[in-house]
Amino acid sequence: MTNSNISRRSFLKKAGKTSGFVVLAGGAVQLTSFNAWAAKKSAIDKHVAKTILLVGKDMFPSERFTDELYMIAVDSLDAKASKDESLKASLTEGVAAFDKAAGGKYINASSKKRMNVIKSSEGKGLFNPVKGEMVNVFFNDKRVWKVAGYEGAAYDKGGYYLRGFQDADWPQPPEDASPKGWWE
Amino acid sequence: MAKKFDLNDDTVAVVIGSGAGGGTLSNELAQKGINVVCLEAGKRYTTDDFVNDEWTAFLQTAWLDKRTTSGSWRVATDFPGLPSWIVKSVGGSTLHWAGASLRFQEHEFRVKSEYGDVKGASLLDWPITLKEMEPYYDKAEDKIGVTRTHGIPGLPGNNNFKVFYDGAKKMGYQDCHTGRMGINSMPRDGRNACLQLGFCFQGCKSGAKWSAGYSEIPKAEKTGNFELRTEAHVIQITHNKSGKIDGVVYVDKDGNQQKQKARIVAVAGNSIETPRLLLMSNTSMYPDGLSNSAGQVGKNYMRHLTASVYALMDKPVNMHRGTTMAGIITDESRNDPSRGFVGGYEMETLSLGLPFMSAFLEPGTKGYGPRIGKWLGQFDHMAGMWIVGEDMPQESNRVTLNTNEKDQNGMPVPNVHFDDHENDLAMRKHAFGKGTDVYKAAGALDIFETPPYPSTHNLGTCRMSAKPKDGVCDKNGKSHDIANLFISDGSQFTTGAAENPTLTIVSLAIRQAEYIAKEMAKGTI
Repeated sequence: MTNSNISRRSFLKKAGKTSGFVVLAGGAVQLTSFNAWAAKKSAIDKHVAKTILLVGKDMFPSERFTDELYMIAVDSLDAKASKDESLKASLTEGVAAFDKAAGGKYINASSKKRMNVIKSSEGKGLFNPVKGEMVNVFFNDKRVWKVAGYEGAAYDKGGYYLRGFQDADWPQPPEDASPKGWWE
Repeated sequence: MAKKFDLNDDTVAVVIGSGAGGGTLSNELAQKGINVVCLEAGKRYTTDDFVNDEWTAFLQTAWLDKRTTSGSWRVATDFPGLPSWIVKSVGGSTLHWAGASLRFQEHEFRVKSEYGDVKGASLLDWPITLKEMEPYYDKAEDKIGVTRTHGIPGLPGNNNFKVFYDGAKKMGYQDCHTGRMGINSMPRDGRNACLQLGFCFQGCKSGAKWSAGYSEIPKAEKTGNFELRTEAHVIQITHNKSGKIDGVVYVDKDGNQQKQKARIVAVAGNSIETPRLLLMSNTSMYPDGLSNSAGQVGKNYMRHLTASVYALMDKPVNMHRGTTMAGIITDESRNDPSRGFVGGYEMETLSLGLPFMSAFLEPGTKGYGPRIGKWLGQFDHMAGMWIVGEDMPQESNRVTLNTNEKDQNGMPVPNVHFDDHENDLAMRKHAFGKGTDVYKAAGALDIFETPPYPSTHNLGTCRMSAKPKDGVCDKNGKSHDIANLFISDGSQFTTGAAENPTLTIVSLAIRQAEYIAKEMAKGTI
């Protein structure tokens, strides 16, 4: 394990990433957290997991989302697959279909090629469970909210009336348009 | 003083539904000393039960009974089993309404006269005028506690409003403010002032927003003339040999069928369930369903124009802080056919949290990709508005029974068919353009034009008409065919106007209660 590990580490350090893996230009995927994947009690194998992660990231890429965060969707699907044989089979088949469509491994394909693979499978195959997990689980996760700037429940914190509901850096409208609050 | 009425008590008024129409009507009748049994399909939630979490609240309160869709509207593709986003709970959709409480404009009660013939549209003048409605609008505003009426101050505008206002003024719009809202800007009527929670759509935990569930129903219960039965899903309205309504059959929370006798029945199940129930109640005497001699039940379904414009701004906005619908621009609500369409639209700020935004910014299978990822990652830089415009009634837009599919009670599910009218398309295009201009003027880096969500404003499927051949009920919501059957929700709307419908539904319910009480006293019903 060696050279590639070293180069990965130095890349990670250079890129300032703290997460388990990064997607390199050209689509190469290297992951550290996945080194332990086989030892983990997982339903889906490492290749399936890696591919799902990259599909989720390709669907919703953002500079603010680390690869560690995208693992939320992978772990969630894996947990479901461990209780659902048909889901497990469909994920494995779905990844195989994505690899085939990519003319090799999806995770090694160019970003343009990968986007074409996703587009051509809209609404079917691997597309549905991954998009569903991203929308229903990833974007419903407080760790993701935090980096995207969504603050979630407000009632237990007393609402926003004293916590920045008017702090955006735009001019304060006149009082006839936006009266003072009852507390003022 | 929760009252209990006997199933065989045939002196009671049965109200089906406890939302803006049914909840208000129930309370108004009970206040007048009339005995009311209100049958609500959903459960009862209090402010303590509401949850500041989008998906949890959705699963808790949304009407998720099986439905089907057809037609060329995009909702049928993106949400084939969810044509509408309404609430199944005590208080109905006033649990999740945003609170906008606008009177219709004078001309919007007589659009057939004002707009003339519009090809493909089944336009009709209302059998009622703004002048006749004004006293009831006044009572409804007082009941709800609408800001900027009755000396109630407006709400303070939040971050989303600041961006919206800045753009509006730079665009030259004249009428932009924090709206007339059914949300307390100060404590009133036993309810708190707004704490700027956000989560207006999830049930207002501070109770600042008017909701029939905790504003009307408890008042009705105090009269001793009122019984609320929850998880009581009405599946049939029954009649006697002379054709008069004599009761309803409902499925109770244990799945058993019950029959409640009634002196009158008022239907307020929202504009999909109301026509569905009339259609499901067909008999040999009424083979096409109740009140359907003109063949109008279920037709002319309207859902407001709707569209959303979201902006990615160059600085943080944090639009989720504070009221969901924080302000309005009314300049485009006039009828000005020189814009290429009849009718008008309101622009109202709107925000969704990140969970819903990921599902609704670009609904359906197309909702992914680099641009969407970038937007969602910068949620704190987003601002947003909703467009509410008058859509054209069309006979072919309708609610029918889908007899191939059955619901949990074994009853045929409603199918909602909708095609946009070309006037709707022209208006939406115009509104997208103006919404874009507002945000560009305020410094937007990018704009997203979001298509309609599942309908929150469902209207017109049992419309009121001067002539029986043109509609289902008269100007009091009374069935043209059956003297003791009433329509009491947004199904009555002859046309939709540009304004959010709740205030008009509540006003009509207050007016209808007066009529029913008077007629009962006279012994005509």
